[in-house]
Amino acid sequence: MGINSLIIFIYFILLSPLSFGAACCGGGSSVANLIVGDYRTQLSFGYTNMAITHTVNTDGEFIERDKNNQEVLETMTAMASYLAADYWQFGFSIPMHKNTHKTDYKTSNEMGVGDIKLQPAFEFMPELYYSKWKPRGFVFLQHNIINSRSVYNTKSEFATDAFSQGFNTTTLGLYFTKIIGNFDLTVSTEVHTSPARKFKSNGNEFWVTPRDGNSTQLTIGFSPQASNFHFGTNLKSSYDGAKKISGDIESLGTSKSYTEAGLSIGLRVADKSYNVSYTDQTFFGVAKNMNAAKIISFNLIHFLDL
Amino acid sequence: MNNHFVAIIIFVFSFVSCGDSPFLNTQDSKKSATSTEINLNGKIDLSTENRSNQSQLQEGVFKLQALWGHGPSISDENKMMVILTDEGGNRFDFQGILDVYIWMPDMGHGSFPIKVTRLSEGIFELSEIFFTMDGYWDIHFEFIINDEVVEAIKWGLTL
Repeated sequence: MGINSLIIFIYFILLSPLSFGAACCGGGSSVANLIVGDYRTQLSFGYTNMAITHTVNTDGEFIERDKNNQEVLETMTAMASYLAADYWQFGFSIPMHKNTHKTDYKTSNEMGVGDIKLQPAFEFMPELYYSKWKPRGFVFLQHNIINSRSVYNTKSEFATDAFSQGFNTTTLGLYFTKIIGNFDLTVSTEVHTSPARKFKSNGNEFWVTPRDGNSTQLTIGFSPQASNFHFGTNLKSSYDGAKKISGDIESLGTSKSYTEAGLSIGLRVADKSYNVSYTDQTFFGVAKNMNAAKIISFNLIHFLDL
Repeated sequence: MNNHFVAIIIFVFSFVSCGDSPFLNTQDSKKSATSTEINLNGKIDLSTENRSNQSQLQEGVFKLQALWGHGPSISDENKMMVILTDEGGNRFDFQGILDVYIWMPDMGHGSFPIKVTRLSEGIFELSEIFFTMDGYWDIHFEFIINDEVVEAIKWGLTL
C-alpha cells in the first residue's frame, strides 16, 4: 500500500470514536475530522452502535447493567471536510441519533438530529522534506452547536430524547501523525470548555456550570506490505470536571473520567475507504462517575479533488 | 457511486432496525429494593400575610411518611404514597402545592417530571417516578404556598 493510502487509514482510526455521546453521563469526546491526505474534499458517513453495559460510580466501581435495564445509543453521522488553502481546512458534522432503552416496564426509543459541529483546522507542522522523526502537526478548533434536548430538559421517561450533551462546547486540540515504514503513530490531545446554561425542568429553574475537560488519544497502526488493509489499535484517556448546579436546585457534582481501548480494521478501494472498529470503555476497568459502553463503528469515506 | 448508495442503504437499514447489541447483559437482576418506607420530619411556618388571608392553611411540625407502592427500581415506573401527620398523629392538611423531584447529585441531573396527585387531607400519590440509572438519588419534597417554598426536605437512596 502506498503512503497516501496509509495516511487515509490513519484518519479512519480517528474517525471511529467521533460521535459518542450517551443520553446521559456517557463517555465521549470528539476527535478532529481532518484531511490528512493529498485531496481537497472528503465526505464521510459513519454508523456507531454504543451499548451501555456498566454504570461506574464515584468510587470507580463498575456495576454491570441487568437484562431489565438495557440502553443502546446509535448514531449515523454525515461529515464533510474541505481543504480551502494549502494548510487551512474546514469541516462540519451532523449526527442522527436513535436512543433505545429497554426495561421490563417498556421499550422506549426516540430518533432525532443531534448537535452540529463546526471545525477549522490549520497544519502548523507540514511535511515539506523527509524527516525520520518529525511528524505532521495540526491544530484544530471545534465548536458544538446545541440542536436538541439534553438530560437536563428531557421530556422522556428514560431520557431517550436527550441527543445533546446540553452545552455549546468549544474544543481546542493538537494532532500529530508520523509514518515509519509499515507502521504509523498518531497522538491527539484536546481541551474543551463550555459556558453555563440555564434550564427549566419539573418546575425548577437552575443554572448548570460545566467545568473544563480534556482528552488524549494514542493510536498505533500497521499496514502489511503490498496490501490494502490496515490494522490499528488506540488508547484514549478523558476527564471532565464536576458540574455545578445553582438556582432552584443547588448541587455540586463529581468529576468524570475514563480510559478506553480500541481496535480497527480498514480496507482501501480506489478513492473510497471502509473501516470497522471496536472500542471498549470497560477494558481497563479505569473510570469514574459515568456510563461505560462497548462500541462498534462502521465508516465509509470518499475522497474527492473538487 | 452505486457502491456508496448500497453501503448507505445498509447503514440506514441497520440504524432503523437495531436498538440492540451483542454486548448487552442477558442476566436477570439480582438486586432488591433498598427501602420500602421513608420517614421524615418537617415544619411549616406561614407568613403573616398567609396566616391572615388564608386561615384554613395548617402550619406547624409535621411528619412525612412515604410508602413505595411500586419500586424503587431503575427498570420500571415507580409509585409512592405520601402521608402527612401532625405531632398528635392526626392528618396534617397541607393545602399548598407539594412538588417532588429526584436528583442525582454526583451526575448533576434529574429525571422525568413526577406527577403529584392530592387524594385527600394530607395524602398524596406520586407517580411517573423514573430512575434512569444506578447510583445515589435524592428525593426532594418541596412544600409551596403562593409560589414560595415554605419547607423543603429530602431523602437519599442508592439503587
